[in-house]
Amino acid sequence: MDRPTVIDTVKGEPKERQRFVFKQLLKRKNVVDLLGLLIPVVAFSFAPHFYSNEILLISMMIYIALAQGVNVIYGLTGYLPFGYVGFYGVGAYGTSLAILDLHVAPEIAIVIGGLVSAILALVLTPLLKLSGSYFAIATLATAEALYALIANPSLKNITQGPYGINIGAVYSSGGSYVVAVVLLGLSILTVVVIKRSRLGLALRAIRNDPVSASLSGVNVVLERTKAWVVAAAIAGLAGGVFAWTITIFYPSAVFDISISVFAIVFALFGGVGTTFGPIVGAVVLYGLYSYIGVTQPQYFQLIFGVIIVIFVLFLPKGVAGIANALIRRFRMRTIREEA
Amino acid sequence: MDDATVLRLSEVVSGYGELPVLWGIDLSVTKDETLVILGANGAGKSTMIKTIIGELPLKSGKIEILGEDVSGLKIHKRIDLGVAYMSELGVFPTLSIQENLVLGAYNTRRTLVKERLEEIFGLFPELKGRRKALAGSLSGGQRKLLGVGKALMSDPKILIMDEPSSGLSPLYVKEVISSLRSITGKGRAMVIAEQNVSFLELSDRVCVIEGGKVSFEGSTSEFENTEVLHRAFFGIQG
Repeated sequence: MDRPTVIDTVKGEPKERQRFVFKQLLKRKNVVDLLGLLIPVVAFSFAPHFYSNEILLISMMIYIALAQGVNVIYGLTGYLPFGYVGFYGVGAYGTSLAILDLHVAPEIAIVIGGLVSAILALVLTPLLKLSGSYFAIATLATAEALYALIANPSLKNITQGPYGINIGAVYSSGGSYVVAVVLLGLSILTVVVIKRSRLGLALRAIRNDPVSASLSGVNVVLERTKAWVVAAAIAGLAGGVFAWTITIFYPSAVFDISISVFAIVFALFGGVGTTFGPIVGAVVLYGLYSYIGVTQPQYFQLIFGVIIVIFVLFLPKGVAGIANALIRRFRMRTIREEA
Repeated sequence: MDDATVLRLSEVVSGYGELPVLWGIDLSVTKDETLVILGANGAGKSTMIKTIIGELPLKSGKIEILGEDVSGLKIHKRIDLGVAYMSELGVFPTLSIQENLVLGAYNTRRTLVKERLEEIFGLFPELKGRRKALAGSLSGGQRKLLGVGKALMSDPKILIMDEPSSGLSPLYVKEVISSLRSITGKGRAMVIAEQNVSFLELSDRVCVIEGGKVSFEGSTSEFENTEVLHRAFFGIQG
C-alpha cells in the first residue's frame, strides 16, 4: 500500500496532522540537523563552567563557523577558496574601524564587518567565472592583495597600516563569548537552511552539471553568487568576533593564509555537504592542534597538507562519508542476516 | 506571428566555433502541435535543439518563443518563458528522484510543486515507490521516464526533447512513446529530435534535416507518402 502523501495527510484530520508533523520532525535527517545545531550551541554555552581557557573556546567556535563557511562555498558549489581568509581579515578590519571611527557598539560593528565582507564578495563575483585550481589561486592572490593594501604604511591614517589595530577600550570577555556562540549557531543554521532550501538543491544540481542545471531553469550565476556572498559574510562575522575577542592585533594575524587552510582542512576532514562534518573536523583537529601543535607547529602544517591531499583525492566526503558508509554496510548486513 | 505559433526560427545559422552546422533554418511550431525532427547522425538535429534553448549561440537569424525574441537570452531565461528541455542524459544521477522532479519545477510556486509531484507520480507510478532513491539507481528506461516527468513539472508550453530513444531497448522505446502520447496536445507543443522513426506515431508534423538544412517539412501523412525520402534516409521500403 502507498504511504499517505504530504497532500493527503495535511488535508486530513487535525490529530492526524499533528502526528504527521511529529513524524516529520522525528525523521533521521531532521534529527541529525537539529542535533547538529543544538549540541554545539549548548556545549559551548556551558563549556566555560568546565574549562577556563575562553580564548581557545572562542577560537574553536570561530573555526567551526569558518569551516561551515567553507562548507557552503566548497561543499555546495565545489569552489575551493584558498583565499577565504581575505573575507575574515576584511571582517576583522571592518569591525575594528566601525568601532574606532563610527563609535558603534561592538555587536553592531561585527554585523558591519560581515556586511563589508559580503559587499567585497559581490565585487569579487567575477572570480566565480574561474574554475578549479584557477579559482583557488585567484582567491589566494586576492587575499594577499587585500593584506598588502590594508597593511600599507601610507594608509596609516585609515587602517593603521602595519602597526595594527587596538580596540582595547571595548574589551569584554563575556560579551565576545556570547557573540561567538551566536556566530556558531548562525553559521550552522545557515548551512541547515541552505541545504534544505531550493537554493541548496540548485547548488547541488549546479555542482553536478552547470549546463543541465540551467536547462532546468536554474540561474547558475545568481545561485552561485548567493552561496559565495553568504560564505563571505560568515567569514566577515567570524573576523569581527576575533577582533573583539583579541582587541589588539596586527594585519598579519587576520590575513594569515593558514586560517584558510585550517578552515578547509576542518571542513574536508569532517565531511563537506553535511551539518556535522565541519563541526567534528574543527573540534577534533583544532583540539589536537591546541593540545600538541602549539609546541611543534611545523609538523601540523605538514600533517594538514597531507590531509588536504588525501581527503580531496580519496575521501571527498570526509569522516561523515566514512560513517555513512559504515552505517549502510551494517544495515545491509542486518538485512541479509534477517533474510 | 499569429497567436497559435509558439516557436519560430527564421534564417537560423548556428554551429560550433567558426564553422556553421545549420545553414538558414526556417521553422515554426504551433501550440498543441507535435513536431518530430528527423535526421541522420550529424545532420544537425542536436545543434538545432541546442540553439533553440540557448546552449549554442546564434550566428545569425532569429528565434522567437511565445512571441518573444529570445536570440540574446540566457538558457534559464528561455526556460522561464515556458520551455522545458529533456536532454539525452535527462536527469541528475546524484540527486534523488523527488529532488530531480522538484528541480524541474524550479521556478514554480511551492504550493503548486506538491500538486504537480503527485500528478507526475500518478503518471509514472513506478517512480512513486522509489521517490527517495537516487536517480542514478534507475535503469536507462526509467531515467527517461523521470526525465519526461522532470520536464513536465514546470507545466511547459513547449516541451523539447533531444533523442529520447537513445540508449534504450526497443521495448522501452515503446514505453516512452506511449507515455509521451498521453501528454501530447493539451495546449502543449512538443519538439522531438529523433533518428528513430517510431516516434512518427506521435507527430503531427515532420521536419527532416539534412546537411544542416531543412530538406522536408510537412504533415506526417505527407511524409509517409514520400517514399523517396523514406528510402534515402531510413532504408525503409514504402
